[in-house]
Amino acid sequence: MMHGGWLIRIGRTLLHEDTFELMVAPAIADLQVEGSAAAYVAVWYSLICAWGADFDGDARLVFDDAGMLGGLVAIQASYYSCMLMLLAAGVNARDAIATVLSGDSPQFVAAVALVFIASTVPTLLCFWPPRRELSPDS
Amino acid sequence: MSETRLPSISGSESVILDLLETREHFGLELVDASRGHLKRGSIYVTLGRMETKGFVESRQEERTPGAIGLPRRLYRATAYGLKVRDAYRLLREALALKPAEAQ
Repeated sequence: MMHGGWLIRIGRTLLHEDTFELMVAPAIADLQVEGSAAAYVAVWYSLICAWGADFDGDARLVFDDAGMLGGLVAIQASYYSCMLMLLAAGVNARDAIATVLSGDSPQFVAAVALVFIASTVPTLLCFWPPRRELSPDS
Repeated sequence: MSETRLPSISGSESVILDLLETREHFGLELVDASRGHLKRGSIYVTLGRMETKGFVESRQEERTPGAIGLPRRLYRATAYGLKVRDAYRLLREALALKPAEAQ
């Protein structure tokens, strides 16, 4: 009976292929030798550490392009902020900027802040590094 | 001129290189041979990092037909890994000398 099939599926879904092969697959392979609770704990520990290593590497790659990504977020946020101004009873851009800078309308400021924060989500989703697969000859 | 980044090596990595110096081992064999220095939970994370740094190499074991499960990996030290280990050993010995002894 093969042990750890579901762990293989989790690892291959969450991790880059090379990270999975180097850090997690050997621990799962050991389950065939000894399927004790300690062995499963070791697999989970390897999985969590491997995910952390992948996340750290991917985040560094993303934030190497912080300037470009910041520009993309600003474009999206500006677009939606303009929509917000149109919804807010036809406020014009100059008054809106003055309102944000003066802090006279905390709700409007909070709404614009939320727009900026929400605009980072699609940017990160688009630019987060895809899962690395091993080439056939590696 | 670009700066060369020096490699780093931890205590666990040094122990692993000592054990792999003469022959290949499976990960569990390293844990057993280390007499408590290496932990089962972190051995493959450490070996994965060492392989990325070029300190060790690994290969999948040869399997009999019909074997189930994932293949296990055999690890061996690279010449580069042993060189880094020896360099840090020399550095530690040099730093352990008191100023009078160093002269």
